Amino acid sequence: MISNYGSYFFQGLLATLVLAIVGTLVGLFLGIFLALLRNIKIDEHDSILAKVLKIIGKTFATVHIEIWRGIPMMVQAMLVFFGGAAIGISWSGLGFSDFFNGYMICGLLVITVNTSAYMAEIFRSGMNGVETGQMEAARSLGMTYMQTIWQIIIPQALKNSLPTIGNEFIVNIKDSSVLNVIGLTELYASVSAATNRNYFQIAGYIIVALIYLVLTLCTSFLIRWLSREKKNGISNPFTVKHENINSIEGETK
Amino acid sequence: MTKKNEPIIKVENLAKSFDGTTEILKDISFEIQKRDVIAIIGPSGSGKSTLLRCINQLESATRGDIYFHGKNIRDLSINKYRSHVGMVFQSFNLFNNKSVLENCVLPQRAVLKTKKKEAVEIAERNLELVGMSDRIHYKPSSISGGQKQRVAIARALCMNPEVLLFDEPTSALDPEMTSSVLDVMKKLVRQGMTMVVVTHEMQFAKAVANKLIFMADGYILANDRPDIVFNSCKDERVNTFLHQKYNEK
Repeated sequence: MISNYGSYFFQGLLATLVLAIVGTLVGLFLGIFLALLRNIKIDEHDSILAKVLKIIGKTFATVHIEIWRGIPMMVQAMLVFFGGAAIGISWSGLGFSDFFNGYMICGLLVITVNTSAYMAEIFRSGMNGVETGQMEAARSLGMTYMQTIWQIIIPQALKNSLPTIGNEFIVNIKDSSVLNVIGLTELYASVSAATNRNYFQIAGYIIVALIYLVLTLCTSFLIRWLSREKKNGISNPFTVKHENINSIEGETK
Repeated sequence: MTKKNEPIIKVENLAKSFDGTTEILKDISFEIQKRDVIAIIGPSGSGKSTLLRCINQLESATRGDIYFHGKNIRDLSINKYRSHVGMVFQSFNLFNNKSVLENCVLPQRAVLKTKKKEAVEIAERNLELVGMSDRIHYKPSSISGGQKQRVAIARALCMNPEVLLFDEPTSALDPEMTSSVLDVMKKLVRQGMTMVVVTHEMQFAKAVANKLIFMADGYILANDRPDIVFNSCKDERVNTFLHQKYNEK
C-alpha cells in the first residue's frame, strides 16, 4: 500500500505539517496581539477617545476569544467554507498551486484564527506570570508601556508559555484532521481515501496513527529540550558555568 | 537648572487613597533639596513606600501636588520626569530576561536614546562603582540578592538621575549583603547624590541622612535633622519607636 500510495501519503503529511506549523506560528502572533488587547488597562487619566478605543479593542479581543474557543473547529471550518461560498468566495478558484489550493487556504484560515484564540489565553496567562515588579521597574526608569511590553514582558511571557505553546502545536497536528470536512486532503484524509479504495482499513489507520504518534512524540521531545535549554539560559554560557557562584562567595540567593 | 534654594522636588499636601475611603497618605508636605539625604522611617503600614511610589508616579495621588524644579509634574512628560527620578526597589526588580550589563544598557537606549557604545561605557562605569564589573554577563538568576540590589542601583545611576529613591533597599537581604549595599549607598552620598531612603536601618539613617522624616498613619510626625529627631523630639510616638528600633541594633 505504501509503495502505491507513498507520495499521496507524503502530500497529506506535508499538508498536515504546513497547517500545524503555520497555524501555530501565525496563531501565536495574532494571539499575542489579542492577549495584549484583552489585558489592556483603562486608566482614569486616559482621554475619552483613548478610553473608547481601549474598550472597543478589549471587547473585540474578548468576543473573538470566547467565540473561537467555544465552537468545535469542524463546525468553524464548515461555517467559514460555506459562509465564504454564500458571500461569493469561490474556494475552488482560489490558490496559487495544486498544493496551496483554495481548500488549503480556507483550512489555514480556520486553523490560524482558531489557534489565535487559544494562544491569546495561553500568552495572557504567561504574561500574568511575569512579576509585576518587572513592569514597575521599567516604568520607573522612564520606559514607555510599549517599550516595556516589547522588551521585557513579551520575552518573559513567551518563555513562561513555551511548554503550552508546544502543546498547542501538538493539538494542531492532530486537530488539523477535522479539516478534511471541507475537502482538504491532509494526512488523515489521504490515508482514509487510500484505504477506502483498497479495503485496507485496519492497516491504513494503524499507519496513520503511527505517523501522528511519531510527529507528536518528536514535537514533545523538541519542546522538552527547548524548555530545558531556555531554563539553563542558552544565550548566556556563564549562567551554567557559574551556577554555584554564591556558595563560593559565601552569600545565599 | 535649579534656582538657588529651589527644591528639586516639592511635595505639597499629598494624599493617597486606594479605595476612595481610607487614606494611606494624609496631607504630606516636604521638600527635597539638592544633595539632601532624607531617611524616611516609621512603622509598617505608615505609607512610606506609597509616598515614594507617588513621587515616582507609580501611584497617582488622590489630592495634592508634586513639583519638579518648580513645575507641577502633571504638566510634564511622565516618562521624562521618571528618568530624572531613579527608583530602587526592595525586591530589586532586575529584568530577568536581560544580563547585568543589558539591564543597565537597555533603559539608557530606550529612554535617553544613548548610542550603544556610550551606553555600554556608562553601564560599565556604574557597575564598577557598585563592585559588579566582574559579573556583567550574568543573568539576574545567577547572582545573589546583594549583588542584584547593587546592579539595580547601577541601573538607576545609568540614567543620571537628579534624585534616587530607595524603597527599603536592604529589607530582603541578610546582614552581610545589607552592609555591601549600604557601603555603595554611602559611596553615593559622598559623591553628592540626592537620595530619599525608606529604611529600617536606624544606624544608617542617623549616620548618613541630613534629614529624618518619621511617618505614622499616613502623617509626617517629625521632619528634622536626625540628631534632633533622635534626641529632642517631643512626640511620644516617635520617641518610643526610635528607642525601640535603635536598641534592637
